[in-house]
Amino acid sequence: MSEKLPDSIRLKVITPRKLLVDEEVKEVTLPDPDRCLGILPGHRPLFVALGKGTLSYRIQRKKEKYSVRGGHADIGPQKVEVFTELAEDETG
Amino acid sequence: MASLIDLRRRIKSVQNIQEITKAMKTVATARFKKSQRQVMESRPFWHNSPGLAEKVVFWAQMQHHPLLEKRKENKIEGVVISSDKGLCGSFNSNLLEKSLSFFQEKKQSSDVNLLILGRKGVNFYQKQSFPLDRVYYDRIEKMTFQDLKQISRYLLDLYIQHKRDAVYVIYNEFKSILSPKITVAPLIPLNPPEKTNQKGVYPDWDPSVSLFVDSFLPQYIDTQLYHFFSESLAAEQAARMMAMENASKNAEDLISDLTLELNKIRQASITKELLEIMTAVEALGSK
Repeated sequence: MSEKLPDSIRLKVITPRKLLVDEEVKEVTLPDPDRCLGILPGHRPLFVALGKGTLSYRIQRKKEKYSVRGGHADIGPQKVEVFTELAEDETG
Repeated sequence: MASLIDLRRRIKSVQNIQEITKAMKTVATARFKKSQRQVMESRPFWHNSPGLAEKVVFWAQMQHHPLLEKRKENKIEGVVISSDKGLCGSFNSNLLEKSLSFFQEKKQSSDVNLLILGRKGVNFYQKQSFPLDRVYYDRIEKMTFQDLKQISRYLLDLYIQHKRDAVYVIYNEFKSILSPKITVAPLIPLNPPEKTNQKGVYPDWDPSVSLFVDSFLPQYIDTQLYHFFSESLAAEQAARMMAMENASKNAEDLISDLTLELNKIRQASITKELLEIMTAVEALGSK
């Protein structure tokens, strides 16, 4: 593929209570039922059922973490939309 | 004609009522703001998740998934979301009236069982001829997502075991402060999204197509029910706020009418007394 890969992903973490995250990020790690799934810009379309664990993402050097319990993610080359049932802010 | 004392008493009692309705309006306003914020904050979820459902159904080629398939409606379950407390204008009465006529129409062709949320709904439907499956009342405004999830899983079980063929939810949708809209929404089976053409390459699935869809659709139903519930809460608070505002306004009008009447009577009695004095003076003067 000669297309230039995008250099960031639009990450949205949406819970039934509110929009938790809406940011341009460099890298996302999602909790799969039995492993961790790292997503970089330009990923091919993928639907993932998430397990319990930590969702983390990186903007430049800053890393943020949330613990999530299940949910689903819709992944495309330039976006990751995470619909999660319950996410608690680990830092707060 | 009412006496002055009577009128004063009435004015006093209307003023007391007005104090109470004003206080209730303040409380309802605060609660309404809270639930409105919740509805607003949860909007992104409702705007985005049907899109995801559409995409999933399209790519998974799952048009015949049991949760998407329409069956002949022999037995249906009706879910009514009312409120625990009254004093919120026509919020409950309109909802219950509309739901009753909807169920009576459905009763012609199918068995109707009901699941009711809110004391007002329970009181109303206990006097009707429909069998009640489950009722939830007292502090329903404190119900969490987990509580509602239990309800939706119960409904889902009924559907999957073929005990029910469809589930309808009737609730007040929060459109604006002035007008809640009574909505009848089919919860199960899901409305299969129209055949849309999604662009792009066939996506990957993790863990697998069927496992993904089997975990996604029930969760989608859970969140839908929660959505209906939070809309109804916001609509209830808005209705109560409006009802209390109207009540305060009516009390205000009543007070001004009564005061006018009071003043008229007072004036009349003063005039009468003056007249009497004048006549007395005249009588004395002419002697």
